[in-house]
Amino acid sequence: MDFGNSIFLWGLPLVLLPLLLHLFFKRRKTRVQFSTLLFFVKKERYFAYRRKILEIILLILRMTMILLLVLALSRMFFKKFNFISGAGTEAVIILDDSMSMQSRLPSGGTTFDFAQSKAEEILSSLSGDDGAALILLSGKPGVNLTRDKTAVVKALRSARLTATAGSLGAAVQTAIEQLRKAPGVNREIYILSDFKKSGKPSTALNIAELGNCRVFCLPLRGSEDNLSVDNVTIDSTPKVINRPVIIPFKVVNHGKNPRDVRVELEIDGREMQTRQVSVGGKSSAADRFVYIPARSGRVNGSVKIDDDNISLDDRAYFSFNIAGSINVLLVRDTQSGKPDPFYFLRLAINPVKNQPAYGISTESADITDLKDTLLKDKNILCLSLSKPLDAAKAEIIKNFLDNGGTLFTFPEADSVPETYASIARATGNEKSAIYREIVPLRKSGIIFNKPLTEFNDLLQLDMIKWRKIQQLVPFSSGKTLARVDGQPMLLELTAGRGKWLAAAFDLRRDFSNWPLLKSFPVVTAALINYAAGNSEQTVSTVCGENIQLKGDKVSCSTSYGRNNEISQANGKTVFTENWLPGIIFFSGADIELAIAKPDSGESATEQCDDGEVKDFFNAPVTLLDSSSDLARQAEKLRKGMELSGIFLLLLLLLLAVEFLLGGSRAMMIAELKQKIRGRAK
Amino acid sequence: MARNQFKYLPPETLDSLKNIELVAQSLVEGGLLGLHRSPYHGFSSEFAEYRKYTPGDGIKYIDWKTYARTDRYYIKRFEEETNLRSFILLDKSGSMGMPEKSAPVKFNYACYLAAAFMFLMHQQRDAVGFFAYDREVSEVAECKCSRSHLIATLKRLENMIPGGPSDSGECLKLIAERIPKRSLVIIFSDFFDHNPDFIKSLHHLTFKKCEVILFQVLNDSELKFPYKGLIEFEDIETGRMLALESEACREHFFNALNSYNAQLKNFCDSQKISFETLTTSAPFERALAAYFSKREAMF
Repeated sequence: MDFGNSIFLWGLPLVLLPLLLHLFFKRRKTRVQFSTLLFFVKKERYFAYRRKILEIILLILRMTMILLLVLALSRMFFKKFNFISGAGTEAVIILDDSMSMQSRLPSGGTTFDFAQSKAEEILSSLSGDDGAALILLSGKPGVNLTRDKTAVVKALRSARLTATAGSLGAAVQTAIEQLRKAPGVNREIYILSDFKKSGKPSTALNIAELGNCRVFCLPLRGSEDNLSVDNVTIDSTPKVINRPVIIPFKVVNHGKNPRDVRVELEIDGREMQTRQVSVGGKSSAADRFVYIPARSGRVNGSVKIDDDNISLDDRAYFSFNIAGSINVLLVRDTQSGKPDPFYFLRLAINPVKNQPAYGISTESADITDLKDTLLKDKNILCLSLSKPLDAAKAEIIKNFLDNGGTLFTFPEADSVPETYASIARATGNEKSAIYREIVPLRKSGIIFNKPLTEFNDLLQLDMIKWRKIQQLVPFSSGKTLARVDGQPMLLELTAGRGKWLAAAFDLRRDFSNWPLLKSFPVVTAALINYAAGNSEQTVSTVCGENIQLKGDKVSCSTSYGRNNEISQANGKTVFTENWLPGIIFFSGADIELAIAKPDSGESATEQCDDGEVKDFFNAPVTLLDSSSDLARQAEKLRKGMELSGIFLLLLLLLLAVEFLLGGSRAMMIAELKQKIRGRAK
Repeated sequence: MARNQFKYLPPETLDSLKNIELVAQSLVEGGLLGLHRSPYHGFSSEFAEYRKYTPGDGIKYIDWKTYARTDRYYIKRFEEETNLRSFILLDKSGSMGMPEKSAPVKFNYACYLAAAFMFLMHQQRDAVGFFAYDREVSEVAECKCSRSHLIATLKRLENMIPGGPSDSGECLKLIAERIPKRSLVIIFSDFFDHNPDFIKSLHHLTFKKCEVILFQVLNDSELKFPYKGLIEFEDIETGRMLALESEACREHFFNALNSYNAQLKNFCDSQKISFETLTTSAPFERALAAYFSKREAMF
């Protein structure tokens, strides 16, 4: 409550004037002893009461009228907040630039465009000495509190939508920090957002700590009908020419109405396939494209849907590399004079020399020739050794594993636990030996575990007669792919970005009769396929997340046509401009490319109602009306509501009532006087 | 009687009562010879008629002069005159004590009147009895014509103070039981009673063939209602309060009072009861004289 002309408040004692006059001229009641009350009617006393009540009402009316007049003259304001007139105002605008702000308004534009125009209205309400700041919900840099409003307007106009979710809590915290340092007494935070239900903080945001801070929210209600495409996750197995690549996708309908949508597979900018998908309200539909690459090389593509509302989530990107075949390097110790341990393997996966079958091509090498260059284009390194491997070779293998290659190790008849121990040490598994002693095993058959259980249906697996195995130590971080009578036969360990498959059996007939059985070529080919890891240096990321890179001079380009030089800071190379969905190609970095996906939570556009918006905060907030000018609303809220008009209106009303009651009283008195006059005559 | 001896019988009253005689309108019974006609015929100075002698009549009543002229026996009849038994009834309820600024209190005024009547009766050698009542019959004086009785009664009047509620109906009923038939009963009261049927108690008196005279004593405040503004009226008998705009209720007050009195008058007329309203602002001697002259003119 505030007063424009507080000097008039000195007139408040005048309110007592009618009371004093009333007391001064009050009719005294005379008590008279009378012989009987027989000739008086009880109801006549209501006349006296009525007059008395009338006089009291008139007294109250007159006092109220004087009070209203004084308050009207003193220009009383009613304020929801304690706004100090004349003191500086610091206004922080938090603009929601998350993906959901792309939703369409009934007028046609996006909520983000509308929010931008509304933010400008707020800025126009500030005077020259007032401070303003712009904070973007996505975390993109805005403008810190400044007196230069044009800079804020410029930043506001150049702000663009992102495919991120953003953090309202972080934005509010930033605003509080800026306001705490600001000199202005009046502190205001304006939040222009669609206030999605998915974005509601688990605990109410604390703004009470900042004294004299007012929070104004402008909830923007866009269309809640939205479709998004999701789950385009292609398996990591090496892709080869003419081998089908499964591209799964899921279309999610976030709206309440069922939709029919056309889904399009786009590869390298060309439409390859389409699907028509029906999705019920608030549900999803999954399907897949099957793409058969005809040439080797990188394939960049996307699964795209047609949707009128948010477009940033209408496309899911993917990228994979098509190789000519799976390259397997078979390494053994040729100097040992033993027969080729890979004989049966080579026979199984490459029956015709120099003509790869199953898309697998093999190459043989001696352990002494093992070098980084030899492993450069290899997917799988198969080792069959008996003597312990030296540390230098183990380091080469570790690098191979770090780059996503797969190591497949087999024992020989005279292998020892130390044969592959150097690799275990190089990959950080030195405390636990993988292999132990070779022990006899008189069992038959083999049982494959997940994800190789389909092998169990193959013929002649039960005909395998085991003679001995080199015992394996199962790792807690790894998994056992096959067992015989409880004994692990095949282990899978993660090493670097690649994996290490360790077999307890050899590939000749020293350990079993398996190489002679029909199941052997099928299983080995399938195992090679399973073992072949994707050596591509790609990452999948959600928009808004930073991408950590390694490299001195890294540059990047994006599928949406933007090239950035990425500079190093604090010894780290970080890509921070991950705002839009697409494929980001890096050069000079350890990562070749990144697939940036939109934040899936932003696709759900269900919005909070006004009551829920208020629950976002632990202090009272004022909701602004998007349909009227925000500058006017802000000014009105700052100044408060002037009540003079209301007081004057009430005064007139009371004056009319006083006139009526006074007239009634005058009539009453006149009636009495007439009676007196009649009696006198 | 020594002058200035009694409060309610001042010398000027005695002077004004010198030439006044109160004669009973109807037949009255009394033990002594007096002004009043008696229902019994006998010896007296007033000749009534002649009647033929019939055996059994006392021969001493035969008029021998007439026998000498007519040779027939006639009996000479005279109207017997007797003294009057009169009773003064005085209402001493609270309403009679209503204070009045410029005139005597109604009760005092009634006492003056009662004293005057008593004196008048005494002068005529009529027997006078006295009752005072409010809620009950509180004062009783036997009906006697002696001087000492008059003096005692006048003394008792002086000591009476009005107050308390009234129950005229019941009191009049009780008094009527004690009054002999064919008496003169004079009642001084304002006749304001909360039980409007009290007046019917007068039937007991008229049934005994008593001559009843009602003097309604009112003061100016009751007759003129001079109040102005907001007045809180207190019922002097019950203490009940009523705040009223005096101007607003005046008209109704007069209407109600006149209507009440009219009912009383009608009843009195129907019962051949004399009803007279007196106001305390008028000197009671004058009021009394006016009443007697009016009464004389009537009969």
